Amino acid sequence: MALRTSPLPPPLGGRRCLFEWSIDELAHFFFEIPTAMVMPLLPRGIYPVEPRPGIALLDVGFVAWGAGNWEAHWPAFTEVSVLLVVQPDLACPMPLPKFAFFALNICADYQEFLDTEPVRLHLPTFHSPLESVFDRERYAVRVSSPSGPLIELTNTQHPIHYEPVDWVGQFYTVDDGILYMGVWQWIALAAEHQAPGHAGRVFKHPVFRGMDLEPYHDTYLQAFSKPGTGSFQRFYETSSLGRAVYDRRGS
Amino acid sequence: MSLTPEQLARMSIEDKRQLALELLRRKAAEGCGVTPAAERDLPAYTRQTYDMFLSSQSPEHAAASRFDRWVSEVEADGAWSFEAPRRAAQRTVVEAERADGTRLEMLNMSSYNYLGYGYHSEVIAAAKEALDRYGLGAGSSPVISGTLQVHKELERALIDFLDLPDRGVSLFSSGYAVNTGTISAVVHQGHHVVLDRSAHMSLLEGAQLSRATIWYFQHNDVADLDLVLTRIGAEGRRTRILVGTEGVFSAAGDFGKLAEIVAVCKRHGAWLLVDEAHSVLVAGENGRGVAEAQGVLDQIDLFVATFSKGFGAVGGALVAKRDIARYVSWYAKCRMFSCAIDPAVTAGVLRGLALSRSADGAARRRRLRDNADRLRALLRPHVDIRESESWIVPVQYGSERLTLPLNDYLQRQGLDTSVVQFPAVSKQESRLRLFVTSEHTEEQLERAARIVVGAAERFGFIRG
Repeated sequence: MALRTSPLPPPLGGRRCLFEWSIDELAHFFFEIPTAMVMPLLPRGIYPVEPRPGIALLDVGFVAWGAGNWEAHWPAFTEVSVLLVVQPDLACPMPLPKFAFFALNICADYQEFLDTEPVRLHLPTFHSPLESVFDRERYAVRVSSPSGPLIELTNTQHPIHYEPVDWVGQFYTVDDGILYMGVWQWIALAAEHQAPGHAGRVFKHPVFRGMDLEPYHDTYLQAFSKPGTGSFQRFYETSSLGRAVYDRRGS
Repeated sequence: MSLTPEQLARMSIEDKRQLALELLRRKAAEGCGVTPAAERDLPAYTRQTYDMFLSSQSPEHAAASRFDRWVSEVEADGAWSFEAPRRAAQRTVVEAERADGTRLEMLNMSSYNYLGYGYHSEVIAAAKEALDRYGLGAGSSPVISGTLQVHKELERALIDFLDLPDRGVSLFSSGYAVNTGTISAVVHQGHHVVLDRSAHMSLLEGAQLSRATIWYFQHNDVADLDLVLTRIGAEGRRTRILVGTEGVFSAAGDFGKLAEIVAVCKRHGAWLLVDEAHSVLVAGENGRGVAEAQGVLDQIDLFVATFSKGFGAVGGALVAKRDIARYVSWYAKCRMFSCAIDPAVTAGVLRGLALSRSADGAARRRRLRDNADRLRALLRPHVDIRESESWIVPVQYGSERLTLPLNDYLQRQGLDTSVVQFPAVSKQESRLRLFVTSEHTEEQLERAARIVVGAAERFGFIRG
């Protein structure tokens, strides 16, 4: 597999930019779930962001990646990411992170992406064919797999307000027992809101690592790229933080 | 830039990607018509306004240094409008001094000295007399030797004021401590605390300290509370459930639906704690709070009064059944292991309580409500004052990015308010809060409204 050879952006946080990919559509839903549910999944030293005591944030993200991102022959494909919002390392010399995530699973419908993602970014992957429908009018997304439905989610705020964003953040991931940290950047015309309402359903599915999320409908935050405008995500070098130690074995 | 279809077809994927990126950057530079004019030229530090609630997992004190750098940047811009020391009492006009030495005389709508008792001559006199008698402090924990005669007088006066002879009182040196101490004393691990989503931080921290399981119900949504309590009940075990809510919610100035919540709690066998911080001495015909106004005062299990609002002092009290109050007096660690409430303040609170029960208090409450109604009438045609029903009048300005420049502008125009933004409220729901008092004059209210409307026009949150 070939790394992109054309000029990449300058380093961020002292980390070299690995690649920049185009995104066709993006929708992220941050659910409020009990902290107790996520603690077994987090290695020591990684702490959940709690918007209020006892409540952690699970980010279920839908991304429609553009064609030709890693290799010229790559088609457009969709991804569902399962992430926990965690406290960042503010000592990292970068602009204030918008979010820091701990990656629980990355699910996609393009096998070559899944085969290479752990090498690129050490991210955990879940292999499954996916069928996805994204409704640009309602900002609704429906994703299912042969194992059953994953998500049926919809935006709860109308009208929606966009602005140009250049978000930077951190991600943490465990690969082969080692904890890694990396940096991401997202440039887009985007909207984020905390409008209340029933955002839909997150179904019981193996991609959610044993968490039963069906009782949780309250989203803390929703974020979208403006449909039809496209956006870009950059990933920067990861670094090893040593062996991942769990106080209680994560599932 | 325009390209023919043939030119586009000949472009490599990489070139198309660069083109799209360039178009996006140009759109961002133009503002795309989606970023309000008020926000486009704001300094970069305003973008971080709502992110600054993050902590950090790094071993270095990076969160502290980041925060310090950010504040320094704002200060250097002359826009840090917080913590400017006030040079005298919280009257309707105050003078504050900014870090650069600038003195600003401002209409004071940021203090919750609702009835003006904080500087009432009789209250001050009573405090001075107690200072002479008892000295500067209580000198000990209330359970050891720090309980003074004046404390017992206040306890008796509160019972008499609320007309609840079967109750006892537990005094605390801060209103915050009443909640953290009471909740952590009466519920424990294995129990459940159910809080309104808009509940004050002291209730949240009290619940955290208790190590009970914490649940939340949608703000003032009694049906949702019922649902949560049903889910807890479905666990099938004998347990203790404490529901926490407030008489007046300070973010929106709305009243808690106490009568309905009482009914739901009774049905599920849950205790009810009501924090009447912004309503004791102020709400209800006799100043006994929203619980009195809604006819359920005698049905509140744990009634929390604070002395920093209607009384204009500091400290607080739990009023509960005698055995519970006694238990909390001993088992609230922040009470047992802390000094008793200041005797001079206690005497001042006692005098303020007596005044509030007289014609003077009735008149002040009437003026307060009239003033709040008047201010709402002045503002409602021009700005969004949300669900305001009380003496807290919120004015929604929306974007967190406006917080720093707006607050600075208002102060320089001569108005001091209390802003609240994410994470205390949802993103894009940032608001000013104008705390109305009985002592504001008609002219002052009209002036405040003019300044707010002027700010709304300048910063783009004017209605119509």
